[in-house]
Amino acid sequence: MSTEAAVAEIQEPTDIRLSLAQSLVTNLEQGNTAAVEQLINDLASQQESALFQEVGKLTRQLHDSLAIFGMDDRFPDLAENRIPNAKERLNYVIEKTEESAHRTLNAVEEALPIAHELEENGSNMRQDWAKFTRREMNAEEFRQMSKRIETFLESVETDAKQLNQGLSDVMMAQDFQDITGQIIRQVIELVQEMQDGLVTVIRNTGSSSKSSNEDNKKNITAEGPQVNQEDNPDVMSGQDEVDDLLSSLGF
Amino acid sequence: MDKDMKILIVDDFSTMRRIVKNLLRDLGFTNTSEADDGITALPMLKTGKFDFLVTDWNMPGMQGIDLLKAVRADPELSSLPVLMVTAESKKEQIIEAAQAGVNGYVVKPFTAATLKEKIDKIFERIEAA
Repeated sequence: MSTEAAVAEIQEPTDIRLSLAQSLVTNLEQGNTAAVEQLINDLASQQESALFQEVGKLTRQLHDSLAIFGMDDRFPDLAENRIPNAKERLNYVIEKTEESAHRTLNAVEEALPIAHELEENGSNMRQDWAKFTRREMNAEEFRQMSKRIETFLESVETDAKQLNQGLSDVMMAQDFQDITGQIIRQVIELVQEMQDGLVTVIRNTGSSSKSSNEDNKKNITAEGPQVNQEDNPDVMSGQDEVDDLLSSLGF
Repeated sequence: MDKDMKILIVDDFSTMRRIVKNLLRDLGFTNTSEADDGITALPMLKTGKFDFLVTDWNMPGMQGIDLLKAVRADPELSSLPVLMVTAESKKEQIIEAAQAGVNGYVVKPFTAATLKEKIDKIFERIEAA
């Protein structure tokens, strides 16, 4: 509803109230009690109908605003696809970060006792060696120490290998950051778009502008990690499928 | 395969660049440099005499697929081996990369063994050619 139309609708009852008030004054001056009472009632009912008109106007505005929501292509798409999709993506972020945290903790928990044992064995060995250099060791004790040194050196080799493996696992567990970062960035874009859309609706309340359709031209572009791989036959489920596809292309 | 070859790692996430760099070092390749997207990578490639490019696809600025196309279109760089390491796993995307002339394609998340296998394969082919 335009402003001019709204003013015209209000103009008429104002005129009626003015003429009612004028005749009220005249009748009051003339001491016409019955007519005065009637006129006061008439004025009150005018007030009521103005209120009903306001409520009617608000109802129409609300209706128009709701119609814009329905007409803008983006809103049904947002509500039906992109918001549920964002929820799914954020759940995937939780999954990935949790998985990485467990992988890191597992590796650390496996590595810690190894490091502790290395420290302890090293310390014992140093004490043995000090005893030996002080010439406080008899032949039998020396034979036992030699044996311990041999096993220690062997264990150092395997322990170091295990620690190396654990540290590599910790490093590889950090790969979640890349994938989750991409997903969160996409969700931020979606939230930004929703915000822009809502601002447009607020600005356009009362006018029903239809947004231009986005160009649907098919363009192969980066989409980020695929979250729901099972439901999409076009998505490769892993390196093996990628390799199969590439070898079918002559790679 | 020359272990001293110069490798450029392109990914917008520093953690991923670190992982790739560490894996390459484990495989014996220590001569690596990093770039965070195609726009920074391309001038480095043009002046840096790189022997191998490892790139992500999805990056702000210039995407990996466009970097690959720019490399193949440049007469100085056109024969540079390119390995794509990316989370993009749709069939049409892999076909697009293959048509653009990628030498290998690794999907994230990946393992050290996969990376090694793909690099070995790329250089086997190059040495056989």
